[in-house]
Parts: sequence; C-alpha cells; structure tokens
Amino acid sequence: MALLEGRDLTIKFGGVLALDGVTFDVEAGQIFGVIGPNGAGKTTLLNAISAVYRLDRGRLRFADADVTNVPSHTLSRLGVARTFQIVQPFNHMSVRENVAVGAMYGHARLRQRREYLDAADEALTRTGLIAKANFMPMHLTLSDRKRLEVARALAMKPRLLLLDEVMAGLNLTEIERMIDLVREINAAGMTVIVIEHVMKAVLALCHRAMVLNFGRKLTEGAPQDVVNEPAVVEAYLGTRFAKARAGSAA
Amino acid sequence: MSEAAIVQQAPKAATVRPLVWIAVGIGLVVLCAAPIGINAYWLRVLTTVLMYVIVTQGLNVIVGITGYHAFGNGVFFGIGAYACGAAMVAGMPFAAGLVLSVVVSAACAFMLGWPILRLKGHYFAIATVALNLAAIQIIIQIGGITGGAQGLALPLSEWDPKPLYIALYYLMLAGAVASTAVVAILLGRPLGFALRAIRDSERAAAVMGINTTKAKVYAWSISAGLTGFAGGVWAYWITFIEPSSAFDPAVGVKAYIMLIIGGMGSILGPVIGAFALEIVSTLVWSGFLHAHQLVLGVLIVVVCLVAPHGIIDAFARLAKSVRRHNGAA
Repeated sequence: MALLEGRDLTIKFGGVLALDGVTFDVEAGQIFGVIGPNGAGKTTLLNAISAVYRLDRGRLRFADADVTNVPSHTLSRLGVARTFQIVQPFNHMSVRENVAVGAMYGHARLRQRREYLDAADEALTRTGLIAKANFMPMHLTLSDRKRLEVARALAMKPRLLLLDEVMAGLNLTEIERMIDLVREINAAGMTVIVIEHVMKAVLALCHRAMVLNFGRKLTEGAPQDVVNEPAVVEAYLGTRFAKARAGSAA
Repeated sequence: MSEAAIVQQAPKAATVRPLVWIAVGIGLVVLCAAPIGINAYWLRVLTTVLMYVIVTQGLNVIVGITGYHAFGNGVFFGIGAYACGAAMVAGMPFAAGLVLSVVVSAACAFMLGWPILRLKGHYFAIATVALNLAAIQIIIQIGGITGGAQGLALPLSEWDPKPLYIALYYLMLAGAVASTAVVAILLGRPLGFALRAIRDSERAAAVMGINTTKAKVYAWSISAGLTGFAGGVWAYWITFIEPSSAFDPAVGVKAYIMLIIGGMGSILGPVIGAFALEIVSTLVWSGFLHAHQLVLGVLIVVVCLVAPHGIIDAFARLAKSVRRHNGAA
C-alpha cells in the first residue's frame, strides 16, 4: 500500500498545462526523486502535493485517505511537511522559535512549552543548527537557511517530507552534508520526496526517480536506469545530442 | 564569535529584563498613586492616555503581531461604546454594559473576520476603513435604542463627579494593565507564535499546519474585545455618545501612530507610544495654542524618521552601541 498516491494530477495556469495528468505512487520508507529540466513542473507538482495549489483534475491519496484539495494546514496535520526552494523563514523569530512553530503545529501538535522547545532543539541538533539556535534567520548563510527549512519540517514530525531543491546553491561540501542528513532522516523511517537539480544527489539518495518534462511524466524507475534513457537525455540535452550519443553507442 | 555575541539575544534579555520589570513596577506605583496628587485636568489627560493604551494594545494584536493593518480598528471602539450605552439605556448596570462591550465587539470581529481577513495588504486596510465609515451610517439608520443621529445619553451615575472620575481612571488603568498582560500572554502561547509566523510568511505558516484564517479571526476578535472595552468605559465617562464621535476614524489612526512610535509587536511599545504621543500632544497643545497640530505633525514625522521601528527598538539599538563602545574601550 503506497503512502502517497497521485492520480492524473493536472494543474493549469491559464492556457498552460503546468502539470498534465501525472500519476505516481510513493511507497512508505522510500526516498522518491522527482527530476526534470527547468520548467518541467517539479515545483508545481510539489505545490500540488502540499496543497499550495488546487488541482484542476486528478486525485491525491495520503495514508489511505483522500486528500484532494484539502487545505494546506489539514494536510500538514495529517503528516505532510515540506521545505520551500526559495526559503521562507519567519524573519522576526529566532531560529529556535522558527523550528518550535513546526513542533506546535504540523503533525506533532505539542502544546506544552517544555515539549515544543525540546522538540525544536532535537530538530536543530539533527540538522546541525543547535549552536545557532538564538540567531535571527537573516544572519544565517544560505546553507544554514536551507537547513532551517529542513529543521522546521522535521519538528512537525511528518510521515512524508517533501524537499524542494534543498541542494540548490550549496557548495560541494554542503551538498555532501545535506545528502548525509537526508539519508539519516530516511533511515529513521521517514518517507521523503526529493525534488532536485543536483543529479549527484539524486543518484546517491533516491530509491526511485520520476522524470517530468513539460508537465508530463516521461518515465519512472531506478535512478541509474532513468538517467540513461534516451528520452530523458533528450529532454535534458536536446535531440541532436541524444541522436549523436545513440549513434556513437551503436 | 563576535558575530555570535551581536546576534545572540539570550544574554541581553537576561541583563535587561530585571531593569524593565523595575521600570514597570515604578510606573504602576506612580499610576496607582497619581489620582491623589493631580488636578482634574491631568486626571482627564491620564485617563485618556490609559484609554489609548488599551486601544493601541488592541491594535497591536492585529497589526503589530499578526501584520494585518487594520486602519479602521476604531470601529470596535464605537461598537463597544454603543453596546455599553444601549445596554445601560435599556436598564442594565454599567458592569453588564462593559461585558457586552467586550462580547459584542469581539463577536462582530469574529463574524466580519471570516470574509474580510481573506483580503491581504492594502485591501484589508481599506476594508476596515470602509467598515468604520459604514458603522456610522448603520447606527444612524438603526435609530431606536442607539438614538440614531441624535446620539445617545447614558444614565448618569449616582456618584459624585470626583470619585466617579477617579473610579473610571482606575478602571482604565486596570484595562491598560489587562490588555498589556493579554499581549504578553498571547506572545508566549502557540497562538502568538502562529500569528507572528503569519506576519512573516503566511504561506509557510499554512504549510506548517497553522489554520491561518482561524488564527487571524481569533486575533482580530481579541483585538476587537480590548478596543470595545475602552469604548465601553469611554461611553460611560463622557455620558453622551453620537455616531460621529464614537466611530471617529481618528481614534484608530491615533492608536496607529502610537503603535508606530512605541514599536509594533512588542509588549510595552504601545504603552510607551500612547504615553509619549498623548502627553506630548497635550503639552504642545497648551504651549502652541494656534499651531499645535502643525508642531505635533512635525514631531511625529521626526520620530518616524529617527526611530522607524519605534522608541523601544531605538533605545535597544542605542544601548547596544553604547555597550559596544564600552566593550571596545
């Protein structure tokens, strides 16, 4: 039984089909990657799953319940947490307070001061931000702000974590650390959907990967197989490159 | 490490907090003792100041903490005044009228909030102004128990004027303390965190599991309840209310200026803002009889330029730079 089932997910922006009948299953315990060129609809898919956008067509099931077009906060309470590609910290709250909000609301719903502060500190420790708990977000580096996004999501104690390009803009060392972090989170039993441009991270992390292009699902499978499929190579690098490569292989 | 020292707040709070408590304690003792030593004129000024502390704290909840700029929040002052006035004309005691002021104002915000709080930014601000102006017409049209355009005369108290005005002063003082306590408690509760989260990023707040519409409606109801209380006491204090004075948009605007001067979203900012503006404006008024509005206007502009985040923030920055100079020396 899949934890998350998307059926025929479709979102239109005016006349543009940003998402065109995408169907997929994410099994519990998986790290599920969503890749594709710029404008393929990756973030739109994530916004559809996290109920930031309303679906024009299709159905979404999470943990055996129909969650098509439920409000964001309801979905979050059921156990779906996400990060934002363009980080959205609460700028007038300290790092610890930012994360504590996740523990107060989300799936965790801790209402005692001691409980939510402890939960915040635990999430900060896991993400390596505990030494900066009293900082204001604007004093953090981009890498730390991305970690803050992850820490806030973790404090919500979700069953499904959606990571929207948490590697983008990080240097190689920071990417390594982020990969380790996601792996640890998953090893602790959390299902993760990763939307990523950094192919190295996708190959290192994901159990399964789905490729989107122009809002449509191109293919799905093991990450190593998926990135070698001619259609995927073509989507990323163009028809001529794909033909040349097929020719040289033959 | 030097960066950490600047950014980290915990040590600063630990040294400043006792001083703040001492200042608050002294202020409260002075305010409690004040009616003994001052004449009727200054008693009236101080009662007005305390009334504005309540209204500004009410505004602080929706504007300072939640980030929804309710320019027309004065509407709840008028609703509170009329709820108390109509109840007393109908024969109820003042205490019951006051309870109704709070309940009716909060209930109005609760019902109006569901549609209006879906508006964002300027649209919400303008909608609240429209509400304020519409209320004047509604009261005039209803007539009957509200007195309509003729206004409403409240039953006179059996007390002598002097003890009555002192009692009303203490009632406003109690309201000011209570409304400040409400803001302090709110900021420590999950709802307070939710509202601050909404102010900084409503989309992130919703995705993190906060029912943003519900939280905003609660915030506005609390805001309206506090404002309505001030309106209720005010109505009994001046004993005659009419639509244009009870729903005077200047009430909300003045509180807004006090909030800016004091510091949005802070606990004591509205208190400081209300005292600063009302007392300065009284002094300016007695010193520059002909040009007091002009002088006051210039003063407000100067404060906004010098301390755009309020007096509290300006002092905090000043203290920080002084400490850094001392540390370097």
